[in-house]
Amino acid sequence: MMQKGFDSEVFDSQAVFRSLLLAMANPGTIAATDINISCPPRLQSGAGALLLTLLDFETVLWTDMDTDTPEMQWLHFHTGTRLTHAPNRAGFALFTDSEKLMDPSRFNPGTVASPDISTTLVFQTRGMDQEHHLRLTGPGIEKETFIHLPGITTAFWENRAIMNQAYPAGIDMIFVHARRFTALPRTTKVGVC
Amino acid sequence: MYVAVKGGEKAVKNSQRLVAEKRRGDTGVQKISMDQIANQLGLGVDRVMAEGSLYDVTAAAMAIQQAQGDMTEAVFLVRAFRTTLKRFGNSIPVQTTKMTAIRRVSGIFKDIPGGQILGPTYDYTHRLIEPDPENVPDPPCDRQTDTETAPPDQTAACDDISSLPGELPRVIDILQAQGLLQQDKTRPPGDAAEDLTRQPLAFPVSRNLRLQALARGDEGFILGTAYSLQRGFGLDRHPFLGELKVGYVAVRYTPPELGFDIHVGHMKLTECVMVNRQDDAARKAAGFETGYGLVFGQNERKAMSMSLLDRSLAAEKNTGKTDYPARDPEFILSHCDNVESSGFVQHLKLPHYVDFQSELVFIRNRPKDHAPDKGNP
Amino acid sequence: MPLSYNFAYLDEQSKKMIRRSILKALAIPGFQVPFGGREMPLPYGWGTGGIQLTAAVIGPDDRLKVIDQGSDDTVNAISIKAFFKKTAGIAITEETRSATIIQTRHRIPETPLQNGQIMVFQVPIPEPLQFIEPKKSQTAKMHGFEEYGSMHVKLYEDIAKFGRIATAFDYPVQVHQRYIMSPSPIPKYDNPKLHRSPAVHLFGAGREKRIYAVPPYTDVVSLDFEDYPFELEKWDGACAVCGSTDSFLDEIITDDTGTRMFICSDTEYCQKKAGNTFS
Repeated sequence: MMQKGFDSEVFDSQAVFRSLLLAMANPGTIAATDINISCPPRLQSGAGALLLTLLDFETVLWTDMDTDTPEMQWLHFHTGTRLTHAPNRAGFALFTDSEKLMDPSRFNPGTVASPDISTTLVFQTRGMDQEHHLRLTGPGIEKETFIHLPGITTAFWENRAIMNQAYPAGIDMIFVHARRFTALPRTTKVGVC
Repeated sequence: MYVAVKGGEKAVKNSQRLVAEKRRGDTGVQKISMDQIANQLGLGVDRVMAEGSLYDVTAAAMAIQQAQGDMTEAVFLVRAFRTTLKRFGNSIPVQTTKMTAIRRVSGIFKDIPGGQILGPTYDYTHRLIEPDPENVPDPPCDRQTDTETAPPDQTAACDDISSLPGELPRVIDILQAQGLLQQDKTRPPGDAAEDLTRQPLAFPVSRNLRLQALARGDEGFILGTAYSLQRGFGLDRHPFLGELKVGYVAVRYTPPELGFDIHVGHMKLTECVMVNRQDDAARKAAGFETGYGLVFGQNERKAMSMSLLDRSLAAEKNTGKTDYPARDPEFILSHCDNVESSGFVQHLKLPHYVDFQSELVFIRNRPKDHAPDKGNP
Repeated sequence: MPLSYNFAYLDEQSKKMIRRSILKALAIPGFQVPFGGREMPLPYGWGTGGIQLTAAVIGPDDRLKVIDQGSDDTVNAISIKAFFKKTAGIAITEETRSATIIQTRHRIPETPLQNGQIMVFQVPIPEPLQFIEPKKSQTAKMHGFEEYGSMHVKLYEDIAKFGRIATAFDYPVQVHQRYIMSPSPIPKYDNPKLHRSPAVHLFGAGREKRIYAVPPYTDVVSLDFEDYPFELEKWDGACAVCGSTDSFLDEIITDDTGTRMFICSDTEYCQKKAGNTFS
């Protein structure tokens, strides 16, 4: 049986979006949603809430899961999102397993004239805290802030930095753990401490 | 002590009360009903549906009544209603060759397969205001095919469309068959059609978005700019009316859960194909090209103007005279929408005193040696 | 005809589309994100871009402040507040400090904003290069390749003609050392308030179908030249109501011979200050 989505599409998605807006505006801060969704097992509750908030029949999603999994059926049922196997054609991409991270440059960074047509990546991580592991600077950050995202390799951050040199083209990222999330837009500089 | 101007809320409420009074007018005069507007001001309803991008006679009639007959305001009301409607999907493209035509004329051949149908038109009336319209009797219902006036989907006394031709071949197919028409490379977009109401215009603009923008564009703007083409501001030859048709088409839709198409209703459309001489200099071949117009309801002035602009805005084909407004897609399509233009022109009525204050401060604080009235070198 | 509309008027799908655009706007500060602007029941030019942003962001717990020309009580501010009261039952406040969302036309409040607050600007013409190059197809390239020479030439022509830069409002800024952006028609007096502001600034242009943003703590620099630095408006007098000498003053003509007095454009700031001073 298909599990249900938001209790209230209108108010739950507004609350999630509002946290996400502030997360994207203040990179590296950890936002949380108190909305608990019982999504299929491989989706964390926070990721499910974010995707229900962002996706609809006008979006194209790439994912590291097979398209016939209960997770994808659930997402498709509740949002109508289209799916793609081509990373560079996706508006959103979902990584459920941080073991299988790919070079972010395989996704679409947009163009210099239309940097907004880029892919936004959503990662489920194994943890999230503000230990001094990554040092963040850039718009939205008063001086500097720190975050720790276990399981994401130094090489990944190096690839991200190389890709975002093409600014304003670039890739924005949202990391989720359980019901908490943090956002790193393309403007955020990440230094590994 | 002087206190800053207050009382905005009360003023707005009073203004809304006044507009309601003005709308009603003299209460000794009978109120107009929606049926009266839909039936007796049908061309006005057609215009509001076309520019409002919503085929809904009732909504358009209500909007006209609410706007006191201000058509641009009525269009705005319909647009704001339309935004909130749920979208079920795309209909199957309507077949205008299967249109039940109440009117069909061509200017390029004396007679055409299927015949010319004069139908209801003001073209050959004498524009004399009837001195006493109360005494003009209702027309008899013994009309022939070529004087068809009543729509099939409204309960009017004259409601027999069975005698009208069921299918009419397209006049330009005659030219096509003789190889005189330059091939139009653009394929019908089908399900991939873009939607002007869900995505912003980006230039260069595709033909399907161009046609959408023109179809909902302001009739006066579309007419005036098409006229400028005819006066040499963008056209160097006289265009010809290939075919102009007014009539009813069936709208069909395939619900995904059913898998077969169902008939969801009829709509009245005006379709126009304009023919222009267009020589292909590269191939040293003379030929014709077409422009297309299609609008909700009966509005020949609009459909014809639209077809002239469709042709002139086909930028990839533009050669020669391109420095004219009616040849410039960005100029025409960015300015043809009357909800946008009316709003922005009229927003000048809003207070601007802060910006004006900045200008005042700037002008008063000018350096002595740069007084602009001294004619500075 | 429907008997009711959705919370905050827009349907959920339209809100999603706008929300996605807002995220992109925050990720690329100052870049104008094209969006599928919807037709609103208020006219273009009356703040449809701002209203769509507010409708996409607002929730039942918000406290909304709406100002026009700095005032909470001008006709357009009243009308927009009435719209959100009716469609979202939202709590309205005039107090800058306690508002969670502030929708504005032509001003930034004098009271400093805080992190977590969202400013929503109504923008008539989002393109700062519009009067240099009216074609979007061209300006998109100019922004893409950072070809801003023509903007500097225009400002420099002002200096040649008037001895100073002649733009008094909608004074162009450069955001995060990259995009030149219209701050909307705020007086240039308000430009410095955008620089490294702790609040989120969202800009909506409904008719032109563009959304852009300045995240908190982001550099926003008014364009100028080393020998002709950016300057703020100055007044000789003080506010006739609260005595303020550090706020934007409107001029009130008090008789037909041109006698005039000055009062604060920010009515809430003025009332607070007057209360503190005189009571």
